[in-house]
Amino acid sequence: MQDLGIRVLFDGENGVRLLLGLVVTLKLSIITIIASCLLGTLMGLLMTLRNPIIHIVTRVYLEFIRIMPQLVLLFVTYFGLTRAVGINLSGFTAAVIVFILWGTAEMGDLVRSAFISIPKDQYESGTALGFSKLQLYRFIILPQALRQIIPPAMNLATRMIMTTSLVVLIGVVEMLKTGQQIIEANRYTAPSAALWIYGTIFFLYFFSCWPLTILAQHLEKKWEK
Amino acid sequence: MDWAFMQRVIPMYAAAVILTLQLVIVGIVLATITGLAISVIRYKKIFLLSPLSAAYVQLFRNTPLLVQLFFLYFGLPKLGIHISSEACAIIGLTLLGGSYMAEAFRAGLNSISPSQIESAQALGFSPIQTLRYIVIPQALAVSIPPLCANVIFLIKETSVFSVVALADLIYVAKDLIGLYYKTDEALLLLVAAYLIILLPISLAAAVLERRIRYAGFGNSRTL
Amino acid sequence: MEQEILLKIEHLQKTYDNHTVLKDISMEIKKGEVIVIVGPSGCGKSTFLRCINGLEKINHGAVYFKNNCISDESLPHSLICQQIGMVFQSYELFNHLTVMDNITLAALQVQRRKKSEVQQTARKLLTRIGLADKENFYPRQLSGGQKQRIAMIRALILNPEIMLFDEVTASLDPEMVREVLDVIIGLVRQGMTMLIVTHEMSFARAIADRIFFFDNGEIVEENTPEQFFTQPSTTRAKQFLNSFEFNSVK
Repeated sequence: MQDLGIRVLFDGENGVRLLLGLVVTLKLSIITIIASCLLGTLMGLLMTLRNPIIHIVTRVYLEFIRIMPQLVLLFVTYFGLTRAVGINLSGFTAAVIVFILWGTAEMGDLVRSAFISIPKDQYESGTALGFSKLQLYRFIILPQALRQIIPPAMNLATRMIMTTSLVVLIGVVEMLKTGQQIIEANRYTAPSAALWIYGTIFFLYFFSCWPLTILAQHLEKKWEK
Repeated sequence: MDWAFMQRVIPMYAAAVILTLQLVIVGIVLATITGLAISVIRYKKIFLLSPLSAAYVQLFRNTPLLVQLFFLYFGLPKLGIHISSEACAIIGLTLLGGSYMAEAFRAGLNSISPSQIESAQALGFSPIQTLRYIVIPQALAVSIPPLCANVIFLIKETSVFSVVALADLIYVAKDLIGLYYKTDEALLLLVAAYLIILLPISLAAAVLERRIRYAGFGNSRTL
Repeated sequence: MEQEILLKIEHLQKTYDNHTVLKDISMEIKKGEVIVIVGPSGCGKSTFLRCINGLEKINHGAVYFKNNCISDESLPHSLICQQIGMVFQSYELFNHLTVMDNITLAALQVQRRKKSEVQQTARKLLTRIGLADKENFYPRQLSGGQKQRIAMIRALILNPEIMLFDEVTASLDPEMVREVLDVIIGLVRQGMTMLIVTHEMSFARAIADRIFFFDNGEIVEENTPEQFFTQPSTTRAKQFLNSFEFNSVK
């Protein structure tokens, strides 16, 4: 019975379908990660300005997004926005919106804390050496800030990839959904398919995220000194 | 907004909050114990157990809880291992949380410089005494902020428990939307319920963190 | 009367991987003697102290304390450390404990002495170094010199027979060096046996009974302080001492 289960993976186009599901997962991840990096940097820089209104607005946004489980945000957007605005959002679009909102908030906080953690004397000694404001940022501040931002930003990216698994619950056909469909279709011929399919998905997620985690750890260690 | 409807369904949400909290408390306690054990094993570099622990941490930090739960709940029964919904939720939370807690404790343990340990040795402390009086109290101060973050993270992760047929908040909300089309009401209560659980905890964490950062070890009379 | 030999080191050798840090060190220290070890950075003098109290395992040779071998791990490390106190360059106070707890913790937990007696002794020692008002402070609130003096009495409260000082003034601001050295001078007057590694040459000259000059992991010269500083018998010692001198440049 066990080998029946594992055969399902190689039966017909099942394997290919699962990989196509992974492509949907990764597509969603990549789109939202890139958008979050760009918007998050912008938001982080805005937060370093000492404007009280910007400060309050960004803070409330950040805290609300952070405190809510991502699945709740997905539900509110998918079910709520559809009704409120009257447009019919696809699950995928709702997911893109939520992940960008969340990623931007987290990325913004990373960027903000990186910039405020650079000691004042770095700015002062740079200015004392005669660098212009632009040169100061280009050669002194930005390289240091990037070293602080990149490792946690990569960890954020892996968290976003993992969290995309939730979109199956708002009806997006991605890897998990494809897996469920394969299991359903082979319910009678291969009853143990669930074990193999979910096991495979587990490792597909692992191998999508693990390299990023390792790279982030490596960079963090390298730049620590 | 149908306020009467909302009033009627509040008990359903309350029951879901209680269920979530029960599972989360057990899960977090077990995760903390697991994480502490794993981090001590790795800190002491115990033969064989140490690389195994490292592999466990990597495996569970790099896979989503949802997929872990699918495997536990739908996959394992095919091997003849049947686990109840509640047990699945707790096992999933423990395994995931353990890997996160282990990293938080590890950060604390690694923050103690080797020379602190040497100076304890030079005063005649045994390895156990060194751990008990010197290493753990100092490591804990470093570990508390990430530990708090993990608690909040794990509570948020419980939102996927509906997939193992537990009547959690998402389950209730989805039910109400499906049965009565009361989307706005269901979602409002969903958001409110999570705020009620998470706001006090995240405020408490912020206060605790601030106290450790500004008042720790000598900048204030309290602690 | 011939004084008892407290510490005897025989043919001590220490290697890290393929690098020999200490080649063949032998030394005898009598009760009440003050030995100062000088030498360039990386000559192995700190490692030598760490080998004596068992923080480093030695590869060859032996260390005897009162005729008992302490380098073969037959005695528990904790017992040796109560007899041989050590103070480090970086103080290493425990940041989570108050000054009082820093001083008393080992006496209470390792030696299992009574709390009232230990606290009384601690206060007496704190008064002697002029920090009686600091017992409830945390290390973070103290200056380097204050921390180092507290690290010293933290070791002294265990009533060691011999003290090892490893460059205890090396990370201090110049104006704080004196207050720390004064504590050591006080110990000299009490007749404490000490093994001191330092870069403070005039201090070494003032307090040492014997000076050992280490270079490249071996004892290059052993001498009285007068002889060593006025007419050292080896060229290497001469070169080393010259590095502390400045001639007019104008």
